[in-house]
Amino acid sequence: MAHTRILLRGWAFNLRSAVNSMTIRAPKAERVGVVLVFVVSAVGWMPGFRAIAWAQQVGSITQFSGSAQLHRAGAVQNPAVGTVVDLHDQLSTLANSSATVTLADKSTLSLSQMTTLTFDENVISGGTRQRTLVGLLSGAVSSVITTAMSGGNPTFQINTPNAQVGVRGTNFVTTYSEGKARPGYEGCQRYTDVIVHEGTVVVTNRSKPGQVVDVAGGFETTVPCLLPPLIAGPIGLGGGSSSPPAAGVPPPSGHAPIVIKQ
Amino acid sequence: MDVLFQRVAVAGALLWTCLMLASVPAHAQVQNIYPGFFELADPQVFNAFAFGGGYGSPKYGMIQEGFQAEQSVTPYLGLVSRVTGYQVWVGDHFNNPMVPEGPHDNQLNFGRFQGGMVFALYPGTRLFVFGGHDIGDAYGTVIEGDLSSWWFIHSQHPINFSFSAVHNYQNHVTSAEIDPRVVALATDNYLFTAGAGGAIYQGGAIHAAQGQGGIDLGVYFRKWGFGVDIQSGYGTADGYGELTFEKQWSFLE
Repeated sequence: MAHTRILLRGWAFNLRSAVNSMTIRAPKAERVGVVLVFVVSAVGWMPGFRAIAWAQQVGSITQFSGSAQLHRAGAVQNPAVGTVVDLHDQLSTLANSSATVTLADKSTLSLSQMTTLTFDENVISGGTRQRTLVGLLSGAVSSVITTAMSGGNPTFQINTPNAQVGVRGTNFVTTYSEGKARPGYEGCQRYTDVIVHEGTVVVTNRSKPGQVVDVAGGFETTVPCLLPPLIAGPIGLGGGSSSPPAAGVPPPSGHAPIVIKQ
Repeated sequence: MDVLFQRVAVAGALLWTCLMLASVPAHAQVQNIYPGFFELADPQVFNAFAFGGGYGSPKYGMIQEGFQAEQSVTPYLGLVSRVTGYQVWVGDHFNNPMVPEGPHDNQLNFGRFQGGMVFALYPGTRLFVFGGHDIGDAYGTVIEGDLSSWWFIHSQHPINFSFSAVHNYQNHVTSAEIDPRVVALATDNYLFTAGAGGAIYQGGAIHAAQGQGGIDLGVYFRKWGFGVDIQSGYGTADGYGELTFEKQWSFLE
């Protein structure tokens, strides 16, 4: 009866009186069990713990082509459309493959080929995403974020091995590459490129978190090795990951004038 | 003779040794300035352009239309080919080719076929070197060099410097066009540029340098890969106006 009464009254039940009443009416093992049930029941109603419990499922795969691997708790599975992505999962696309993960708030993360993404943190409270942290270990991910800000703070962040990309905007592409040097960086072989299509994204080097560069829509920046992010410049002028010939570059205004024989 | 041969052989061996020894740091230096210089581009990029436009002045007018294809080979080197058709109207107050009212006197039609290489000298800087030949009303051999360089690309207003020079072996005229432009406004969809443009030409029957110059305005629609540029000014051919447009397609291979 005491057990039933406690469960029915749930979190509003006074713990001290409950323990006292059980001391009189139930044996020790039962009392411990009842207290555990009570504590779990009460904690379950606390907002923070509710958020953590609900955050285990980060989203699901809504678009998929080619081959990919979903690493979860040491096991590897082949994902498909509809596969649930949980917290701490690692999703890797293989060559000529792509996948899109749709989060609970309809934000989308689109992985290009040869991309590895980890889902490191996801906090939802009251049905609103408070904070999502993903790790980009290689490749490129295009993000369309529906709830970029909450209380003045970015709610979405991408970490690469050398950069932090905090999201204040809604549509941007983050690419991390290593093992390939670029002209002008004295042998650096680790780069994070951020291209912003809409809104603003704040970028820092993880080794220099105080040096922040805001990247607005239509601009891009690069974080080379341990250097601070470069000042943002217009997309596609040859300063980022674009392989020459660069795309999106306006051509010369015209060719040399024709001069006919006089 | 034997002594001379011996000396030449020793000198050659020494020179060869020096070259071999020097090639190691030289190779390393090239790799430092141009990482992956000796590797194939990955991914390979194929760019195709359709372009056209017109030029008008009281002394002559011209319409051009063409197609250009670029194929990367290494990250710093590519192959390029271009075919262009020209229609030129010569003479004071020639018939306007846009409003054909009557016969077009002194009209010249010719095509230009060019091939060459494109060098990525630095991120944002490319140099094209062409050789080619005209067919039709013009039939000369031409060589051309085009340079496009973006400066201050990590800023709100990068500057573009474009230079294009052509030498025509038929009329022995060398003509060059120079366009410095600045990015006035950049958004995700558009790139607006403003600047100046000018041309200078001399050679053959043109004994003294002649030229023209004016303002230049452009807009590039990123998502469509389409750019329009207008230029207007004054020069040897009196007042002139120039319109060019270009559509770009890019494919990663």
